Amino acid sequence: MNPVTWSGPAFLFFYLIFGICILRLLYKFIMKKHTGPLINASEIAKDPYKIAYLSGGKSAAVGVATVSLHDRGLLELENEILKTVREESIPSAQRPIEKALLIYYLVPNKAKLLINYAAVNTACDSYKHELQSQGLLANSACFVERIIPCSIAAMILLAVSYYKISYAHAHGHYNTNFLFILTCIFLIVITFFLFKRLTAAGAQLLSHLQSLFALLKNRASALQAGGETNEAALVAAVFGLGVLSVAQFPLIRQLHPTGNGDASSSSGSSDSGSSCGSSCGGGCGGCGS
Amino acid sequence: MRVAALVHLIVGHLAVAAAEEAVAVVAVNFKDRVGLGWRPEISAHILQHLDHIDVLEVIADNYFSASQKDIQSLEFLARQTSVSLHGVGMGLASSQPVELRYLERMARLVNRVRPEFWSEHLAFVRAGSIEIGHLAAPPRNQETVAVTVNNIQAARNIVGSLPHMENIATLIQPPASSLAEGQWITEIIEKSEAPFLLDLHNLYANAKNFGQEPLELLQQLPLAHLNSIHLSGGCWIKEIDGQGERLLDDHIHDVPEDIFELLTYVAQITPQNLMVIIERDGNFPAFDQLLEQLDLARRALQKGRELRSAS
Repeated sequence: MNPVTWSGPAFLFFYLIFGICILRLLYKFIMKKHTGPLINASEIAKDPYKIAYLSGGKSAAVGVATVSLHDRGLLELENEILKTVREESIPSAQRPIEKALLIYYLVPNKAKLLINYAAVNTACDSYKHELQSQGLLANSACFVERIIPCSIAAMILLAVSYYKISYAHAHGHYNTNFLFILTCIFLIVITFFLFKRLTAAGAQLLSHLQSLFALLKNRASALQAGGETNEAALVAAVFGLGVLSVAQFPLIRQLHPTGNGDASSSSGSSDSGSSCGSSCGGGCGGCGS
Repeated sequence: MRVAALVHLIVGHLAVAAAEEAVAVVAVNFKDRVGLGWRPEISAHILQHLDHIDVLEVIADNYFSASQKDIQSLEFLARQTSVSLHGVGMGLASSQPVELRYLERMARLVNRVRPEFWSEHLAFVRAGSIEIGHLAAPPRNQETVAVTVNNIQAARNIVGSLPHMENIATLIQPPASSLAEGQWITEIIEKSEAPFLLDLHNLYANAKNFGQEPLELLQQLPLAHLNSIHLSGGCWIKEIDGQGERLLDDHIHDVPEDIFELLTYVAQITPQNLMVIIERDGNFPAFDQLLEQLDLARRALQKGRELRSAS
């Protein structure tokens, strides 16, 4: 019972399932559960921009930093023009990326995701190296490690596809375009796996943060501006700027034009029934009101 | 004579200094810890300030039906810091046996998360098929003592460890009671050998609501088995008939000063290390204010330990 001898549609269906299984195995192999040193979540959580870089790269880090600076009153927005409120505030900026943004906007400029500014690039490169050294972002050694399993997966899929195409042509069937297209799709997916930004540890960390902060995401639209805390920055770093309310953080409209800022539905299963009073009407120790 | 007086003065000062240092050393030797209830609403702040929080208490019931992703995130949290699991839905203090499925759920979660300990309440939450929806004080008599002890033993057999058992607040004295609250709790704790989780605000509320002195009630409790302490706040509510007030333990107010004084007293009279957890379920203040409450708890503990060492 050789699937290669099956008719076109039947073989295509087999190849689709076969290919998905191969890709799934490849993904599991590449992203196998991190068993390395424990990642210090508290230390990482102290820098929302680092998490934003992990989650969405340079643009995410710059976006969160810009919104945070505006929220804290260090940047002023007027008619889509951002400017640094006080030059004296620059030395006290908490992170290099903030310093870079404040220096740039000393000259009032249109608010945008400043991803081509040298000082911002330097700050983001620093995050990249830190995250790579912590094993959260893939580095060149990681990519090299992935080459062999990705190559094996690609060769298996190519071999099966080539065998079927040869068999079909040998029997006078030349309608192999769909098979060709499906094979190309699988190879593209394998390429994505090969160059995946996150390591297993990085993906796990983000997943854990998304789960732990799921309720915050549900309530992100209610997060108040005012910059007293960087809670909004941390939520935006984990879930993207789009979860914040544009009414509270109007700068998002220029930086994140596709989102309306309203919190989307929860991605986690934990909900507000989290108090000790979940089984009682009042506090954890006794009868409620 | 003057030289002698001077020497006496110097020696006296040195003795006092040595005594103070000894007290400080003894206070440091206690490994008391202070933590906070894990609440998703303040999860971001908690994670950013884990270095100020010695332990997190997680409501176990929220994870009994959680997805694998959520449980894995809880495992991750438990690797970051000490975690305890706090159940609210077992109803161990009852006149009926605890349902196995609640114990099995807790057992699975404990096995996954490996918390430092798990805890439950000296309360019932259901009667027959009726779910009450909150923690209720059962009649305090020998029958409920016996069933509660059996339930705690069953919990140990299935979960693999004894739960820390917490006293609850009640706005009414449970009918059909033949034992005083302190006596009832002591019998259960001593017969089951379960560690005791003392909720100081619950004790305080019960004392105030039923005309007792908090210290008097405290001294009736099995403090030799004390392991962990809950602190929380509440508010005064009017009686239904409008005459008088009762103290409601609602967990949405700051811990009052009286409770910290009780904590100091407990630290003074108990020799064992204590784990103190502040419970806040809502109306969250700025997180710095919650951290300040943790520091107040630490100072109250230290003061108690110093008083203990000095006595």
